[in-house]
Amino acid sequence: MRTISTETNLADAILQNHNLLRVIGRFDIQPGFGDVTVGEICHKKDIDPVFMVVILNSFLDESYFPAHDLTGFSLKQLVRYLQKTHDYYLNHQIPYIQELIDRLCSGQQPENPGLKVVNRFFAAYCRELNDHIMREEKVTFPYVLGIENRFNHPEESETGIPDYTIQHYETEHDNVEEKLNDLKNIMIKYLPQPFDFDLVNRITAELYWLEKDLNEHSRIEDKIMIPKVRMMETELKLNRR
Amino acid sequence: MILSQSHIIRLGLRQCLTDLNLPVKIFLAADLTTATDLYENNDIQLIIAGEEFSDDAGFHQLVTSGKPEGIFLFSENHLPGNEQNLSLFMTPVELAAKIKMMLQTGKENENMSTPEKELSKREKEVVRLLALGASNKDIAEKLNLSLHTALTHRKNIIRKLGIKTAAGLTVFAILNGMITLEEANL
Ligand SMILES: [Fe+2]
Ligand SMILES: [Fe+2]
Repeated sequence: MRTISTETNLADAILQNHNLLRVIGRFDIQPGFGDVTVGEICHKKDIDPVFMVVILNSFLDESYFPAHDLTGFSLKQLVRYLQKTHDYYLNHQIPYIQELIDRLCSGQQPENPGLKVVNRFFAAYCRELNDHIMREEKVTFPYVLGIENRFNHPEESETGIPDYTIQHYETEHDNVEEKLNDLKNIMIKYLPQPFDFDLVNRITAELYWLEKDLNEHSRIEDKIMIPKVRMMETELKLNRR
Repeated sequence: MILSQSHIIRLGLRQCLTDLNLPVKIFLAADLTTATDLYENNDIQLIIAGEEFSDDAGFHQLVTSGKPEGIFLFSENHLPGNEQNLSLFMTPVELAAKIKMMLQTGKENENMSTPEKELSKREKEVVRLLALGASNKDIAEKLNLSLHTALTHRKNIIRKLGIKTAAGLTVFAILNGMITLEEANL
């Protein structure tokens, strides 16, 4: 797979891996964008091209991240992207899977109790994911943005060590993908008959996608956001040991 | 599972196996950590490992830790007379024959003995308690085990079922009639 640069034609990149469509959607780029390079679309949409290139490549290649220089873009950009992704999970992907699961459960006559268990599990999972995301949106991201602001304008900021630091986030940040993997696994191996085979196919495919996407999302939080904030904290002498 | 340090061998072998149209899923691993992870979380029937791992202690630990599935070593040279070897220059027909034979043997073994996938009685109890919301410590106390033993059971359960979370085990327990939906706190 070729690495994407600002010179890469966006359509060519997406034809190589169509899942990138979901990624650029979070930058408000939709199909019909024309014959443009990555750099050109970034300019047009006012997106930091360095950031865009990092996100696209990290999506294609898991090992792309650690080697890359992270200083080139702002945390504001990064947080905006993470929020868009959250929005996508909560308002599109999860409701879509829920709808498929609902259909799976209601389609069987007589009722298959095994399917109801799957539905319960997924509902519990959704609550957990929602809590995870809300915590980040309400506590972590405001803190992260505040730190960047303080870093950029040290003279006009308050002093003192905050109660919540990125260290707290690092300890509390749990893995939300594991349960999804279990659900997929259970459906593939232990789902009791009878059920609509085609629907189960579609659900497992969507779960697979969501898991991969969440993985990618968490990696950005853990491998980019945390180190970047920590660097700023150190500079601002906010680290408690 | 294909375990090789060579990117070209991994992808090449995968293509060859894909061409054989076998009803199996193919996993690729470039190192032992990945291989172990895949091995623990999936039902691996056959391992094709690069020659470079033949003297590796970690590799031997991996292949002796689990159920008796097939292992092939993949080498650059034809090593005649050794059933357990695949080589870089074998023909598709030779490859197909060896792989199919090995997958077949695996199946027969599974039918004859109790498959290792089956949970032991103790493990079933542990699953049941976990599904009811017990912690590792609770389980150790209830079943009169050391915490270490309880953890070992838990690890074996993960290996056998591929289910890692307590919530996942709960679903498994309900689907298998070990607890009822009402008993579970899902
Ligand atoms: Fe997040
Ligand atoms: Fe997160």
